[in-house]
Amino acid sequence: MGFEVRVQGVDKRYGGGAGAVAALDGVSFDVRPGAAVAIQGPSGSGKSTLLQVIGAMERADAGSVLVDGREVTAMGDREQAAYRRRIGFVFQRIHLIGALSALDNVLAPLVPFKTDFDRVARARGLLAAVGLRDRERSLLGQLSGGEQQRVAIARALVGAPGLLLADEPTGNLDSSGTEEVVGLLMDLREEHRMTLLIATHDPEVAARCERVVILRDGRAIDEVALGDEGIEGGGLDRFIGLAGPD
Amino acid sequence: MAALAFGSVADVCFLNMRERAGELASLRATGWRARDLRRMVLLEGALTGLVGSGLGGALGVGLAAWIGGRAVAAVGLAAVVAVGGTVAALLACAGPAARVGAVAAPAVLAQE
Repeated sequence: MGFEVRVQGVDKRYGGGAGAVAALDGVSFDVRPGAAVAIQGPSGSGKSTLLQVIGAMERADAGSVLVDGREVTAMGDREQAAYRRRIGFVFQRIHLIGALSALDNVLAPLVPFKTDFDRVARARGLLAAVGLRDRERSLLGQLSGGEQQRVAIARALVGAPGLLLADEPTGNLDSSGTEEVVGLLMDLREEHRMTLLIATHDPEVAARCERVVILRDGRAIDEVALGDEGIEGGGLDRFIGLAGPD
Repeated sequence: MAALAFGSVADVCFLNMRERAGELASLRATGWRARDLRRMVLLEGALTGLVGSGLGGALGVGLAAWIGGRAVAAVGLAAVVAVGGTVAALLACAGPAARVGAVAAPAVLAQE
């Protein structure tokens, strides 16, 4: 079952004194378990920072982040690392290990830890699920950008996460690669019953989600419900009006 | 000379870590602890030292045999050099490894 996410009044500032920059300013929203929600906004609006706070990669200065009933902002370093093993991250810049094969990259998150399942079988199954069954021994340089992103998605899922955080996962892909990766994320969310949070500046990617939280200058200025099948009702005009060109 | 080599290994180790900051930060994002990252950096340093000093020692033994037929005597010295080189590389990477948490910062994961 996917994790419930509750974000309440989250602030995050970088720097100090007069030069402090508010990356997040009182951001609040809730995500029901298993939902797909987009965080939409232009570059610099705070999308990446928000995902990093939810993913315990950054600490909020104020506010509360409850994931699956646990307060992320109160976790110590060890608790944070354990929590990150229960969620998945996908990034725009893929950050896989170039010297390793696709299979070894998917296995990498598990290397320091004991597991009670057949990790190689799980990694192979995930590579098959993302359409790379025949490429598991390929080095990264032998894979296209879209294929590398699919390896990154398989890696994010190897710990069977209840929450997947995707930060501009299609930012470096062309339109066909974007469609492929977004479709894959949506399918895997249903199959694995995960909650999915996608940070994107692309309204077409956001429109694939059931709800969009719109960020501007670190503030959540609106939320648009798009429905299970995408945009419905009067949401389209409102969504385009809010999320329009950067 | 030994101090210079030690410093060079530490420098290379640190540069290598900086170049791979994205990889390291992404491993952190998957749940690796700072101590796991430190162990990896130290292990890489030790392996690099072992391979480098092992190859150097083997070359030395070969040269000793070719020049003076004293390969057996050189083997002991080569073994000492290999062990010493490995330990020195491990120690040289200790400083950079201690800073891996700062290098693998979340900022490197954000879009550019």
